[in-house]
This record gives sequence, C-alpha cells and structure tokens, in this order.
Amino acid sequence: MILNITKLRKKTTKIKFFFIFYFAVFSILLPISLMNNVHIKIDLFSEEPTQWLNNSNFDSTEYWFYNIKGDATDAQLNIYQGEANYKMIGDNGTYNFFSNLTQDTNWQVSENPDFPAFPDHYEINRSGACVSHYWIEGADQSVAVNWNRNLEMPVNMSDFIITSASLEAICNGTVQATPSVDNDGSEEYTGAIDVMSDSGIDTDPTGGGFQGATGDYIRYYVWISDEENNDIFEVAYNQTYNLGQDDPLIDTMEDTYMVCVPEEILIFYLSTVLSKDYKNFTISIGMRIWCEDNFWQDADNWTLMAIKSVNLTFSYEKKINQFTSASWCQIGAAIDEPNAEVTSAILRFKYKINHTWPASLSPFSEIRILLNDNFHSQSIPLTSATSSFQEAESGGFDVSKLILLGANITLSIQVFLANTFGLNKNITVSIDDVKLEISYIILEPAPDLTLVVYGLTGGIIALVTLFGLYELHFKYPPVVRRARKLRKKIQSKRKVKNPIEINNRDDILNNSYQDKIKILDLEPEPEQPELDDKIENIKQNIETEEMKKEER
Amino acid sequence: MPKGFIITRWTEDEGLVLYLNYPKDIPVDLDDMMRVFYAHITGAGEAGNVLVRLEKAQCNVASYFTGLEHEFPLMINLMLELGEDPDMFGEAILRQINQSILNYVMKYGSNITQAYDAMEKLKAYLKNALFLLERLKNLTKEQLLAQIYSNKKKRVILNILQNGPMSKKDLRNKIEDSLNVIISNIDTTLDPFIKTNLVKQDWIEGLSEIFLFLINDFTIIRTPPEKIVKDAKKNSPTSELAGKYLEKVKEFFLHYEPDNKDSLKIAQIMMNPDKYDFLSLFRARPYPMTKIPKGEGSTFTSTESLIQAMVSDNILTLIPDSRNIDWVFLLCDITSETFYPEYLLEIIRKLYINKQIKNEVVIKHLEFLENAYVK
Repeated sequence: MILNITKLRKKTTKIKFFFIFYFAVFSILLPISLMNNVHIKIDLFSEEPTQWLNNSNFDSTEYWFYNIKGDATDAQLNIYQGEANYKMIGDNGTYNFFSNLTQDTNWQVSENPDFPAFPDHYEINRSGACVSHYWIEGADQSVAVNWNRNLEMPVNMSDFIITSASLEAICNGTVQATPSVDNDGSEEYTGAIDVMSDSGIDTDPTGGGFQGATGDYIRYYVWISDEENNDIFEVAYNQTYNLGQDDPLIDTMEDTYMVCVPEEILIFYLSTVLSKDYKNFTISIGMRIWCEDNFWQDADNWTLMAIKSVNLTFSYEKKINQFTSASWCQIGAAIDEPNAEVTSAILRFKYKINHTWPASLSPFSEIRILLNDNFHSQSIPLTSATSSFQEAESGGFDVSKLILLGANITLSIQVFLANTFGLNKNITVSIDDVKLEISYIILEPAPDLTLVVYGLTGGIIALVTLFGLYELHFKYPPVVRRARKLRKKIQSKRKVKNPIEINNRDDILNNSYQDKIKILDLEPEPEQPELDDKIENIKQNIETEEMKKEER
Repeated sequence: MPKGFIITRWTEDEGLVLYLNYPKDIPVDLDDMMRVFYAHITGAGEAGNVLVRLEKAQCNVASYFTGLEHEFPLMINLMLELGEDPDMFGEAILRQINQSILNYVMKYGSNITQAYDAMEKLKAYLKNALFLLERLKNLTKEQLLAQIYSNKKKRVILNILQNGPMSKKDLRNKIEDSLNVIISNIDTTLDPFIKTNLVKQDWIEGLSEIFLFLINDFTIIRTPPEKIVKDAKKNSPTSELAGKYLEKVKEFFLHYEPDNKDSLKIAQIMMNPDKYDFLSLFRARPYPMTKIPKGEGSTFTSTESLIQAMVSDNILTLIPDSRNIDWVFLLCDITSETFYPEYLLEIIRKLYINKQIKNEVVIKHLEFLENAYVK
C-alpha cells in the first residue's frame, strides 16, 4: 500500500497546531475564570426575602424624600392621602392687544430708521393713523412714519411657550389717480399716482416718455420688536400696486386686512422679542410712501392713507424643560455581610396618572428606577399610565444586579420628562405600595487563590510552551531534527552547502560494536618493553654486585 | 513448500534420463525436463543455475547443471510452487545441497555394489533437504537479515541503496549489469527487504516510477553472549567454569575484528536451521555435552558433529569441568541488528547538491527517514 505521507504529515501538523492553540487559549481562560470565581459558593445562611423599604404605603412622609433635577418649577412633589405624587406644573394664558386707532391715540410717533423723512402730514385722528403727502420732484420722494406702543406681558414669559398667535391690521387709502387741470399755470405737474398698469395715460401732455420700474406705492406695515429695538420683525404689511390706476380708475382702497406672516413665524418673532426681558415688547405701525419719478416733471398726490386698527392675540403655556426629572427616594439599610451574594431583589410598585399624558408632545417621558444611582434597564412610559393604580410590572422588576453590597441601598423612582413642551394644566403621576424584596446568601470566603492562580497560569503556560517545543522540536531525536531541517531547506529551495556532521556507516557500526563488548570490561594490556628491560638490567646489576661481594 | 527433487543425467547415448525423483510420487515430465535442460545449454552449456517456469506443470524449477564438460553431467531440479523463488532459501544453502547431492552421486554412482545403499542414503538426504528448505521458509527476522546478507544479489542491492534512493527499474538494470544475471522478478528479490522494513517503496508524484528508499540498515557481527557472560560473572554454572569461560570470551574478543568475510560466514550459520537452533539454545545457558537437549531440527548431522562444526567456527566453545566433562558454552553470539542509517543524510545532501536525483525523491526519502527513526 502506497501512503501519501506528505498529506498525512500536513494533516497531523494541523491537528498538532490545533491542540497547541486550544491549550494556549485554555491556559489563558482558565486562570481568568478562576480569578472571577474566587469565592466558593457555600450557602451558610440564606435570608428569606426581606422588605427593604419602610413606609411603603406612604402613610406619612417619613423615610421618603424627593429631589428635582432640571427646572424645579416644572414639578412639585408631595405625599398626600397615602400616595406619593409627582405634579407636573402646567399653566396657560392668552394675551391680546387691540387698538382701534380711530379712537386710540395712545401711540408715540417715530421715524422709520431706514426712511427717516416724514410725509407732509401724519397724525392719529378719527380716520385712524393718517398720512397725506404731495410730492413734486422734491427730495421727499421716499417718506415714512411709525407709531410705537410699548406692551407689557402679565407674566414673565421665560417659563412659558407661545402656542398660538394671530394678528389683524386694517388699512385704507385715497389717492389722486388721474391728472388734474391746473388752471393757473403749467400743466406739467399733474399730481396723479402712476402705477405699472397705467399705459402712458399719465405721461406728460407735452410729450415726455413714461419712466417706471416699480410705480408709485405705499406700504402699510406692523412691526414687533424688543424694547431696545435691537430685533425688529415685520409681522404684517400691505403694499399697493394698483392704487392710483387710471383705467379702470382705482383711486380708493377700502378697509383692507394686511397680509400677516404665518403663525409659526409670528410665534417665533414674538418669542424672540420676548426673550430679552420676558416681559416687554413694542408693537409699531407705519406707512412708507414711494414716489417714483416717472417722467421729467412728475408729481404724486397721496390724498389720505390710514391704518384703522391692530389686533394681536397669542396664547402661551407653561414650558416643561427637557430632562427635568423628579424622584421619590428612600435610603434603605445596607447588606453589611462581607461575603453575601444577592440571590433575588424584586421591586414592586403601583402607579397612576390623573390626566392622560400628552403623548404627542412628549412621547418618551417615563418612570425610571434607580438603585444607588444606577439605572434599571426597564422603564415605564408615562403614556401607559391610567387614572387608576396598576402594577408597574407584573411580578415586579428584577433589580438584583443593581444591589450593592456594603452600601446603603438607595431607591429612586423617578419621573423623567424627555422633551421640552408646553403644558397647559397640571398633571399628577402617583405611586404607591413600593416594595423592594431582597434575598441573599452568605458565602464562605475562599482562601486567597491568587498565588495558586498565578502559579497555575505560569504552569499551564510553561506546559503549553514545553508541549509546543516538544511537539515541534524536541520530540524528534537530534538525528531526525537534522533530517527535518534538511528536508525543509530543500522544500523551501534554500542552500544546503554545509556538510552535515554525522556519523558515517563505519562509525555507527564501530560504536555499536564497542557498546556490545563493554560487558566484557576488556582492557588492553599496557606495553612497557623498555621499562621491563631497565628493570631486568637493574636486577642483573644487583645480582652481579652480590656475586662479586661473595667472591670477595 | 518445495515439491521435491528431480535429478536427471545427460548421456550422449541416451540423452536426458531420469536419475532419481524424490518423493516417489512427484510427476516427471521429460519434455519439461528438456525445456529446463535447453535453458541450461543455451549458450556455452556451462555449469550454473537457472530458474524456469513450467506452465503445464504449474511449478517453478530451480535447476543446477554441472555442465556438459563434467564427468557426470547432472541436472538437479528443485521443484517449487509457482509463487516460490529459490532466493527465499538463500543461494548458499542451495549451493550446499546441490554440492552434497553431487557428492553422493559422484561417490556412489559408479560403484555398482554400493548403488542401492547409496541411493537410499541420497533419498534420506533429499528427505532432510526438503525438510530443511521447508524450515527455511519460516525464518525469524534475524535469519531473514542473515539471508539477505548471505545472498550476493541482495548484498549488491543493499550496497546500492546505501548510496541513495533509486528507482526499481534502475536498480534492476544495475544489478543485471553488475552481476551479469537476469532478474526475472525484482519484487520477489526485494521481498525480504520490505518484510524486514529495511526498504520502503513509493511512487513520486509527477514521476512514473516506483522508487526504493533505504530506511534501515543492518550488519551481522559477533558479539559477546550477554546473558551467558552476565551469568558467568555471577559464577554460573560454577565458579571454575565461569572463570575459564570469561577468560576465553575475553581472549576471543580481544583479538576479534569484524570483517565482511566473517560476517558472511556467520550469516550462513544463521541460515542453517540446525545451527540456528543450537545458537538459540546456548544463548539461554551452557550445557554439559552429555545433557544437551535434542532439537527437533537435527536434520543432517549428529549433535556432536554440529557442535564440533560450530566450535570450529568459534561460535561455541568447550570447557571441561572438574570431572572432565565438556561443557558447551556460547563463545560468541551472532547479532544481526538493524540501525538507523543516519549517514544517508549527508549522502542525500550531496546527491541533491550535485543534482543527481530529483528534489521530490530527496524529500520523499527524508520524510521516510524522519518516520523510520525508532529510539
């Protein structure tokens, strides 16, 4: 059978690496696991579930306290008739300013800052706030006049939101639309108002050409501004375009409502001008006349222009600030057992609301649970509250993970307001029957395993290292390592110039044979012929000497 | 197992005639014998061995012919099964058997008065020879190694593979060129190498040949009989005998130098089943000459003559005790040990550098060597 050894070897190597990797990961995870479980779970003493809170029915204010974060005016908390209440303070109001200018002269005239030239005549009289102006090729081509009225809000608007607003302003006017005949002099200056829809009728009788880009017009307007006139907004206007038309003749504009900005913009402008001192703002009415020079000797006769009335109305509601929260809190006892482990902590309470929560204004406002300032993952949306008490959570909230050992267990039940919105009336959220039931066991402390763990870690790492070294290197005898090294070099096409210092065949055989005959303890006899000869010579010399002595 | 012997004689008058068949019931087809004879005489008709496959008789014939010039031209045919090869018995054994048969024939063949007895003795010899050959089929590993060593063709294979891997085809050509023989079935020749795990054969991806890789080497040498020496050091069997024995062993190994000639000689001793039995017997303990257990395989010769032969080969030695009874001691053991051919690493490296073999072959051989190492 022919084996594909290369494939088998690769597979085996993969398996070895898998095991080394596995042991390496294991050697890291095991000590971590041990470090995290240094207490042996021996249940020496189990506590029955204990009601951890006092005065859970709010029979009095004892044990409970509250706090409000954010705008403190947004909420009031009290305990009343066995319930803990969170009252969100709502309020509303309507402001109206109406001026019948045919009767109300309590306005201060002023110039238009951009067009400081006044018209010929301006006053408030029975016709209202009136202007008349005759221009005849003079410098007073563009004139204007304003009347101002300072207004004061009945409340400080800093904590209110304007929720609706409307403005009505009525104006009228009479002009000379067609040329007049000047019996006493030149007919050059006709006095007629020229508008773009005039088709040359007002042109100079002597034959001059009509000149015009806008035509003559008057712009009635209503401004609001802060008291310092830093922010000025035009909130209504009416600009004529055909008053003074010759054919068909239009020389009178009956009582006409000015065009008002959209309500949202009006609210924004009102909020802006009231944001300075939250109390005062200015309303201004005005008229600006533009006498376009339409031909070389033009004249325009604005007979009587008037603003008859102004009516500004807006409603406001109490502003509830985003992230305002109000909490009922109780500081409970601590679990002072050093080796306790909480097995269960269930929080139960009931809640209700006296009015349906305005979900469209603040959909994410909710009741939150905190234990020692740590939030529980579940919350109760206020939109779910009803007018009668209901369980916040069927079976209660499992808050065991939030229970700290060795510290007072502080419970906070918090109403959290998630949006800024206007609240026009008070809404009260109430809670009752707040119970926190905690069970815990006391564990026997395990001996300090740190050294053992470190030792074990070191041991395992050493073992893995040794195992890896063994598997990859030392498992193979030196001679096989040389074979592997040579093979790898050849496989990777590296040079193998250096001879391998290794026993040749004769050396191997000789070594093997020498090992075999060791058992005989063979010691070759020392060869000492010269020494023996010397000894023999000495002996002979001694014998000769002795013989000589005897002979003597 | 071998089927038997058919001995034929060539005469100029009668041609090829049957001289003896053993056992009696072995069929003799003279046409087949002529085919074998032709195989011998094709060419110079000199003495030598041939292996012929007889399809009709469904057997192989390992035949030895004395040559036409011989004074008694004789063809000794060992009839084998189809799957059997004479190599499995070792050429030395077969040569010895053939020579013995020839000796019997030459000694008695011409003496008519002794012909009957001679024929009976020859038959007895043939009986024992068949028994011997049967025993040679079930060799131990060390005998298999000895068989490899004692076979010239296999020694050449070993020498070739000791110098690097080679394809089966190239090996066959090289042997045929160097020994001037035809290898009919190289796989049969390589079989003992594979069985003894000396050689691995494998395909190389991308090459169309099977390559042979030496992964273990071996030699046969004399070594001191470990157990007997240890026992002797403990004065066993007696302090007197033990002392004398240790002296003799030390004396022998002090002057013993392993060489190829002696290795070949002791390999043939290993191949002789009777001698191998004695070798195994005396490895365990020495025996007084008078109490040597009779082995089941005493085929040819008497115990005494076998022991004398092994004494003269310096395998056994006789040491008289105080009562002048000779004790038979194992003077030297015959060790045929395999060893890891680490020297091949340098040989392979040189072959690779000189680009004498392909990279794939080098890598395959190194992989085999990595896996072949046994501590």
